Amino acid sequence: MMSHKMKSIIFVIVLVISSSLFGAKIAVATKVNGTVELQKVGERDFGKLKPGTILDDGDRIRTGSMAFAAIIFIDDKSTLKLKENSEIVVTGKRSAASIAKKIDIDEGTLRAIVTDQRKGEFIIQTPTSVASVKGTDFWLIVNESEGDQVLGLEGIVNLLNIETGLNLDVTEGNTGTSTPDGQVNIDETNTSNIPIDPEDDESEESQIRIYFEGPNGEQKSLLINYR
Amino acid sequence: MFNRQKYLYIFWLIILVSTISAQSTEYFYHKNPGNSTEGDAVELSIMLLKDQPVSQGSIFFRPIGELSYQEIHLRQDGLSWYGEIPKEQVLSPGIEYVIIMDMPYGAKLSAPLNNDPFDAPLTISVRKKITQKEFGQINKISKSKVISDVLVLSPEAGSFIRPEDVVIAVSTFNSPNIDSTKYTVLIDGKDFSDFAILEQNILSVTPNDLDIGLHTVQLNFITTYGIEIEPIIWSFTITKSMVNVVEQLLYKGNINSLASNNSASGSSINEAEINGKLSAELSWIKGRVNFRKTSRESEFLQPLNRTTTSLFITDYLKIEYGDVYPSISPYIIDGKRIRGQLIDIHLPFFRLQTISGKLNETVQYQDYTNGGYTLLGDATVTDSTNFTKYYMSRTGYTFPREVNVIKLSFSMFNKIKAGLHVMKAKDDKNKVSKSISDKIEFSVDSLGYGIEAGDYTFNSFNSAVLAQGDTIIFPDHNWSGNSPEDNLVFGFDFESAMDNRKLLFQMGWNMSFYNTDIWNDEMTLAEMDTTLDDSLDGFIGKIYNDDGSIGESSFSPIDTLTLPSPSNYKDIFTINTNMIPLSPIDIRAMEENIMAAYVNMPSSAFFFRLKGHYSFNNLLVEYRQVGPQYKSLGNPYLTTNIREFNLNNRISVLERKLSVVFGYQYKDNNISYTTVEPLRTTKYSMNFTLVPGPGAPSIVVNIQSSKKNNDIDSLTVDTAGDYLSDPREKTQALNTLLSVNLPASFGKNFNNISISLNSIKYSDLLLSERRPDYFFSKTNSTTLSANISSRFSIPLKTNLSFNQTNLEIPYRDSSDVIMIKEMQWRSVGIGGQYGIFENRLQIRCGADVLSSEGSEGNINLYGGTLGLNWSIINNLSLNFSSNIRLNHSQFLKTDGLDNNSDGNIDEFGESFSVNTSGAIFTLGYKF
Repeated sequence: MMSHKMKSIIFVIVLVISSSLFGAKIAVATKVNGTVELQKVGERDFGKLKPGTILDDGDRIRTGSMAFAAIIFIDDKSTLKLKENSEIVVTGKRSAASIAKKIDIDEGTLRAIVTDQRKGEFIIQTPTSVASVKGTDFWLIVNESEGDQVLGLEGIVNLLNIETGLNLDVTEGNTGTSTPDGQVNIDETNTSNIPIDPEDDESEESQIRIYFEGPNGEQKSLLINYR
Repeated sequence: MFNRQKYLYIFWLIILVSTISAQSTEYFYHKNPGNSTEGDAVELSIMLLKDQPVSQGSIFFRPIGELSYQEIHLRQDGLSWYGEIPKEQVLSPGIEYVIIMDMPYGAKLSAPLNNDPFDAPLTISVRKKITQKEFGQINKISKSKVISDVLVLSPEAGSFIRPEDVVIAVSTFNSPNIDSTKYTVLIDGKDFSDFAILEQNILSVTPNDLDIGLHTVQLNFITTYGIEIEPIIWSFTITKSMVNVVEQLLYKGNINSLASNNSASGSSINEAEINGKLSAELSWIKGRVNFRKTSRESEFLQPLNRTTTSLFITDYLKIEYGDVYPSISPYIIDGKRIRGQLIDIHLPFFRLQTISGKLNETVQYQDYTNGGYTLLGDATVTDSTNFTKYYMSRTGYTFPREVNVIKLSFSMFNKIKAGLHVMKAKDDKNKVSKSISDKIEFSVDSLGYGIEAGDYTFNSFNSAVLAQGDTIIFPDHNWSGNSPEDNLVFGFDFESAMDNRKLLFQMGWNMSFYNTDIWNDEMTLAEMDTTLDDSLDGFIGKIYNDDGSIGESSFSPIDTLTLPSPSNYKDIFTINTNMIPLSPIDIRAMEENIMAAYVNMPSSAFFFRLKGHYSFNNLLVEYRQVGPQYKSLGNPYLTTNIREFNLNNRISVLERKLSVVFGYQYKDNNISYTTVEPLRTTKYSMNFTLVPGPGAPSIVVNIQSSKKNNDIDSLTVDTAGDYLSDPREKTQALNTLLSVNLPASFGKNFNNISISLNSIKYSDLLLSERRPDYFFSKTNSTTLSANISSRFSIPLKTNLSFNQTNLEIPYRDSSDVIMIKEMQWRSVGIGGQYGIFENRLQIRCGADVLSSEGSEGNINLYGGTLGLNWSIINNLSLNFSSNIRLNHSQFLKTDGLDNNSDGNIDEFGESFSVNTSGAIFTLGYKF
């Protein structure tokens, strides 16, 4: 007969294990194009990622050729957009006020639109670098053998090379590179190198102005703002 | 038995709760409300259990923490008395109150019932106002509805989306008191609640049957307190294609003008530039134009202006025109600029990329003396009749380099990928003119042939030569400037994904043909015969003994009559004696090992790579080799003559917070059969990276040991056997790094502190065998650097940095004794940015000092920066930045020399000089 103490210990262990296997909900996939797969935390196999899927702490996402995925974090709408042939692990520790987010990416291209974090930072770790961000919009191109490129669109990204500890701030209009041999460098962005965002411009506001002419020749215009 | 116990527990629990929450005595019954919400009035009541002669009743209350009580009179309704604490006084964290009922003759009845109720008043805990705190920006709309801080994640309000992209998602993360069991999801009034999931603050619905057009979503929630939340309502539009062309046209862009002046070591460069970009999207088609025009554009340089026009048609077709930067393969072309066009057809199972254009543009000459013509003085000859031939040539030109690249790739179900690629680059030698502007001069030395020394134009020199009755020999080709080149590279890539892409095998192989000089076009078969085996006998590879008999050869001679003429392939590649390789396979290597000869072809480059992602391991096994004669003009700086083996495993543990990398690398240059003294490098590395998470310190420890060995095992001696030098290299470099990154927040101020310590120590592994006078030239170094960057709640950002490098440099002193010179470089920098006028004007400034302590004295470099960024109006901004760096060499003031050439020796200020300076103005407009 199992003692009450033993039962309690088993209960606590099961609780801890289950909480680590079935992580906290932290984000939701809002757009999926092409082959995008999801490996739920604690599972061995990949399944298809569908739009609307709720992502747990520790979930792994990978995109195939010509694929695209967008995920949004639930605390502040920080957005990650994954381009083709990319693989990330999404981790986030929930507190009452926010989610501390960390993305591990081994290879691929992503865009991070990070809202000003209420606490701490948003970290992206690659085999070569650690990028710390706070209120930033940037592209990150990760290549395990050639290193990382951060193309700053807005705000500041701190890029730390883990081989040498060298770090620099990448600002808007500049590209920071971090290479496996330990070097970091910054240069003006060649705009042709900025990846295409399939969702780009969808949220940009535009205007249509329609002119009306009355019977007496007076003109009035109707201005429509739309996104 | 168990049930009885359970019921007893429940009974006692009820009794306990009743006792705590109610004041029930033999005189009255009063129920304490227990808790309330900030801003809600609290009604209290007391019911007398006996017919007491109460004249009046009052509530004395105060917010917790206040000293004095306020009084409210009770109203009577039968045996009960009622009173209401006004909502303005219901404040968090709670209220203390006492009820006093006045009796005749000064007697009083109180709740709580004791002698001094004001010492132990009853309390009501008051929650923070829901409308402000618990639900964020919540305002009370009515008595029964609040607005909550629900984030609409998807789709954005007012957005246009495609039918397949419809995902309705909202986050209630910032509204923790929403009841996750009671909600409704209405789309256009239709209830989709059964299809919705609300888990851990995320509500998600993926409706599949919405029509094209405008749709409105309404979400209804209530709080866990039962308060109804103001419905969240927003609209979006589903579009299939070009429903309305005008409505779907989206565009944005910017334009910037820039003016700058930069000086360095007395040279100054002024530049004006205008650049911009425009991108537009029309549903399935996107366009982008980027341009840059600079005043530095010159006919004597490769183009500095840039223009790129890109067109994207869905995800399947990309067309770029202008300056394009294709990346096909590191072994072919990898980001080098081509002026031309790029077409990329990318279908699910097939991809075709073609690029054609120019790697180099034509430059006819340089605008300086000898920048177009040169007189070959050494070739000038005078015959016995005193007739002189002057030989001239062209210089300062660049041939236009035409390039064509094609890559064809196939993929099957994300499991197998394969691609073939070819690049052809060739200089067009006919595009550079022999005759150029007569303004270009060339220098004529004192030849002693009657022509006066000096600078001449071609015509003036020609006149002088003709006047003497001499002549100029000026060939049409084989000029002394760069020779035209030809390059053909081809290869393939292959990738196989196994075990659900956890294991990837990748390989690639490439071969190059490079001709360093195509002035003389392709060779004939007869020239090929003599080039490859020295004898013109109609056979390639036929070897003759000294007596003329045919010798033994490892392979059959090739009859040149069976070979096609090289001229048949002149459009593909120029085959002549300047081509590399002359023979793709090293014939001597074939005699040793045929297989090795094929693998180690000097103009080949290949790699094998295995990547595994299992459990916590990221494994990389890679072998790559680039032959000594491999050359791609698309990536001319690729390191050649190298072969290396890499084994790397990155282990991620503690929920990926700690990664440990073990690495091994072997590298040598022993590819060619003829390499005598290969340099071998073996590297072992270990890296620990601890990144616990956002806001937590990260620590990097890196240890790397690198050994070099040049395989030489003997000393260099002269013919008499006396020691000359010790060329043996067997060294070890130990590189250690500790880096700590410490984010620290103090209130709304955020600081990031990074400290790193790096040490490189060299040791000679042959030290015990060396002669005492052996000079080991490696320099040890230790670097300590620290950086503190801060962001404050006011619009101020600062950065403070410190760096110190200690060097131990070996040298020989005047007595030829080996000494160690210790040098120290130290730098301190501070910078900041402050925003005023609601951050529309940001001012930046900084200063730094770099000091170097050496045996000759101190050298200091003082730097300063100043800049501003002014957002003039909404999308118009002005940016200014400037910098200056002063050189201060203390010893120049005491060296007894006039270092600044002003006629005074060692005067004040002689030790200062401006090293570099610069200023940039940028005016930008976004639209």
